[in-house]
Amino acid sequence: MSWPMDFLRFSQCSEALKKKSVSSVELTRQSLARARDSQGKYNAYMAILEERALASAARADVRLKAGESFPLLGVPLAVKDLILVEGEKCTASSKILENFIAPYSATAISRLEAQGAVIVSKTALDEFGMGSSNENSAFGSVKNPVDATRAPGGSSGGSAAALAAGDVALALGTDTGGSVRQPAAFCGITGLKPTYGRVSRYGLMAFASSLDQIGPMARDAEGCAALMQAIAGFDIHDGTSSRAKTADYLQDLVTSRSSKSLQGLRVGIPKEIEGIALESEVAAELAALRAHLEKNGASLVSVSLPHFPLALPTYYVICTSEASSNLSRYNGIHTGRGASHGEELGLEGLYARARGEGFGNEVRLRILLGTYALSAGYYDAYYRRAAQVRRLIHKDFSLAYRSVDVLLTPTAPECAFALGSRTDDPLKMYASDLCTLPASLAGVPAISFPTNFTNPKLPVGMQLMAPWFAESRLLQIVDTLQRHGVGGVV
Amino acid sequence: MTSSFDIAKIARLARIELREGDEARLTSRLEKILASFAALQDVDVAGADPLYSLSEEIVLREDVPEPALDRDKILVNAPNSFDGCYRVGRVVRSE
Amino acid sequence: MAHFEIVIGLEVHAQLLTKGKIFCTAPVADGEPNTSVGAVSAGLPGSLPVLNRHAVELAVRAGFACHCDINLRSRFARKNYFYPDLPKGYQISQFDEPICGEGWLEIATDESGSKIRKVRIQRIHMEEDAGQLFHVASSTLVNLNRAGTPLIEVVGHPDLRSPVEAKNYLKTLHSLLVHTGVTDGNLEAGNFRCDANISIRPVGETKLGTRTEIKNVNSFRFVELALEYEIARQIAVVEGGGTIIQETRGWDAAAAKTFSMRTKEDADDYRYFPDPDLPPLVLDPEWVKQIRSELPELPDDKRRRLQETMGLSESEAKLLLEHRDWHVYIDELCALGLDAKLAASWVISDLVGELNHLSKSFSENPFKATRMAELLSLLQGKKISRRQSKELLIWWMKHPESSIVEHVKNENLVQVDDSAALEGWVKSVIGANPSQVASYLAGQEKIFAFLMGQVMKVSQGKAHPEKISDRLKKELEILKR
Ligand SMILES: [Mg+2]
Ligand SMILES: [Zn+2]
Repeated sequence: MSWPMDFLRFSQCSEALKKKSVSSVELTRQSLARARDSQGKYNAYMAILEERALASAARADVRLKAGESFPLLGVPLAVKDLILVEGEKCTASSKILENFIAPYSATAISRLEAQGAVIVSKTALDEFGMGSSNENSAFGSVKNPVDATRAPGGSSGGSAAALAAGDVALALGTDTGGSVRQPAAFCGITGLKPTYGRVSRYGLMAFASSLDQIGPMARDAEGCAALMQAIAGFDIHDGTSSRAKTADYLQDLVTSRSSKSLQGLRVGIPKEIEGIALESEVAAELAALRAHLEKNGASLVSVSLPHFPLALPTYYVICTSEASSNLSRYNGIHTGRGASHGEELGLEGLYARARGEGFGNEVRLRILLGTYALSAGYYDAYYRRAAQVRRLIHKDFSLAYRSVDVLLTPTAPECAFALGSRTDDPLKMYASDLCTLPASLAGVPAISFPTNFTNPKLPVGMQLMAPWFAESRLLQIVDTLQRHGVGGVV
Repeated sequence: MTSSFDIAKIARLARIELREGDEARLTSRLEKILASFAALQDVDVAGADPLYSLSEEIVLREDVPEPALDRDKILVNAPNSFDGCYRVGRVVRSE
Repeated sequence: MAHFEIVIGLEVHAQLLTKGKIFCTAPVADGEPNTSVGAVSAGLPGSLPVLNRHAVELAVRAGFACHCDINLRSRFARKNYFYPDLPKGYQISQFDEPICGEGWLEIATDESGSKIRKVRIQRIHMEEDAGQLFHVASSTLVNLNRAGTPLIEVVGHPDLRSPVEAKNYLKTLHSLLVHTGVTDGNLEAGNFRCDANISIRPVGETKLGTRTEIKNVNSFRFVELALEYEIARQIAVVEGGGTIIQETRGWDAAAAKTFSMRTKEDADDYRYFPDPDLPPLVLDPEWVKQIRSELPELPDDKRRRLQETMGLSESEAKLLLEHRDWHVYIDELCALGLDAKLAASWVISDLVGELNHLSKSFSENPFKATRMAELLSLLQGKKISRRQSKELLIWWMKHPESSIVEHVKNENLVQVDDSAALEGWVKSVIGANPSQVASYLAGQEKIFAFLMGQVMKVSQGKAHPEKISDRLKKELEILKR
């Protein structure tokens, strides 16, 4: 039985399960079958967890029968292979972790499983989250299901591809500088990067600790809201976790549907995006979206985030510095693949061999860059200075939110680019994240959603950014737009 | 800043063994990237307190330990273990 | 030897007395290898450090014990280096923003402890311990039980001028930290260990010489020996025309020698940076106040208090601090209603003196406080004199089973304060010494002492001197008129 298009969206899955028109085991079997089928085409998975998924689906069916009604109960879910699921391999798409078995589960995973979500797969990524195309993987690149010659974006490209291929209705990604949003844009789905500290990082393999966030990905805002509902909130196992109260993300959506939520909304357009060369289709979509917002009662305000153009160097200094330290634990002694041979190398040589062999090119490049930025004599000019500029970027956002409710930019300056077209030019690759980096540095929540006003040949994503902890506002706005038919979801 | 990138020194510090051809390829990439960072040096950062963490205050845990992890679950991920320990080739004391 | 000044600075690592590790949920325990390891102390991917509140409290306590400034805002940093005892590839420590700033200790400058000097402490910071390595045959085994154990590092200024001072500094710091419950101070287990930085310079030179660092010495005596050895070695090098190289040296206890471990030529670049997993540690001033108020009394403060409340000299107070059993005994006596000053001075001088005389230890004192109180009550009630009390103690030591009150009664030793008897004795002395009385009345006041002595004599020492004096004055006053 093939997967009816009715199951692309979270609400369709969840309603069918509640009405008992389908069981979780049936839904999970279909999801698994689709995943196996699409793996050959798109290579989106590091693992398909058949046994685990069917067992938890069976448990979910028992709970459904007993009348339990968690929104995610029995719903299949894909998880980026940077997030630990106890007893399953977690590779980070890196050779150095090819055999690593998670000894515990991430907090997000424990919470999802407690609510009965069914984890069906671990999705491929750019090694350790470092990349924007999913080509930096020790296990082959992921292909974009919309056009298999193109990149799905990165680093959560596997999760985005799994959604675009229709294998699951929900997925978890992680976002450090745009890794949920940019692949969401490239694959035509919806992805939210929460406020830093909103979702526990415990059990997320660290790339850049001060930037990393786990984020929900789905066909629509409602799916993202359902996932947020389960994973957001304080966690004593994460020292950077926020104690701020969480919203009722799903209920907030439903409530907003009865009101005209775009009426009076102040949408800020950073004038600094004028300095970014946007692909014509992206520019056309942006213009059409602005018109749509205005038509529906929102006011558009031009704002300035003066340090926006500095986000790229600031981000790369900070993320590589933190990564150079975070990835020191993969050393061939305690964790990670050992050196292929060479007791004769001595201790230093053993470390260098294991790490030299285990890490891919981009990871090695970034470790070297970060090591340099932290090294004696360069620390002040790079790491410390970048942290100062980050303060300025943070202030820009604080000021902007005094006059607007949200900020709007395209998610990426372009649509999905061809696989192989940027692998030799890291700077060109990095530029794909120009629009997503500022929100990461400031720690504000940001959502990417597809638009299709002008019939673009490839998906185009738009990004809305809200003040700290205002995820609900983003989900409500995007839900409203999607109910207007924006992006063609409904 | 500078464009002189001593890759051998940094690679040694980072414990990354360079592969054939790495030295030239990585050096040229790194120098290009560093050059693109030049804008950072021109920003007026006077009075800007470095932002190292977005969380303002630390979370504290009570002194109530939980059971330790099962040793086998940890050591299963070590490339080399023996008798309940991680094992390495003999480490010379002066290293 | 005499041309060189010795400059020593100590860095002490003390293990904090917590149940759990500093950033990890695992317990602090030492069983089978790798059985008290959690996700954080194993450096597992995805694990995150969360700071143990009690470790913070103990570090603040240590700060107060060492008279340090407490920094209400401090920060953790990563010290990056690769070593098999460090599974994360970095140690979480504090770098430029430690929890405690400048402080000081008072230490003895020689063995006798007669001279006391203040030496400065630079800072105290918190950090995690590393694991342990065991070298067997052709491989090295790693045990992470100790990884993540909370430590404070107390960094002293280079204010110490001799190995004896260094030893005394360590002893003082050790007793302070143990006394305040910061650490168990177990030296053999390595829970209190020290790195010693030492250099020499010509007397009069103000610039510091090149220093060597002796790593991980965990005995007071070894620190002294290692420093003595190292001083002699450095002097020999310099006098032989050589130069000292900056290096880390180990202490080989069996050979009683220091040996070179590694030189600092390939200058370690630890790439310290603020740990992004740990936001700034901000202390609530109320909490800090509470920690201070709950701090057990520090030895120096206690000594000062004892000097005041018990009327003791500095040396007596120090003796009392060193002998907890004497102190307990005195407290028991006080609880029975005896005056603290009287009890303290009597126990420290008379009782301890007599026990010493009999070559007995204090624990061999045959009299419980309740019995001893009988004797001291007589003294406090002025029924016997101080001299008598000592004589009675000497007798009692030989007859510990006897009742001291009975003995005093039988021997008729009690000072009489019966006014009729007193009046009789005074009047008989006045009657028997008319010429002396006349001289006194004529203005020769010195005669009073003679008359006092006569009354004492007549009373056979049973009359209390103060009371004699009062009565005698009264009777002479009557004659004056
Ligand atoms: Mg030190
Ligand atoms: Zn230390």
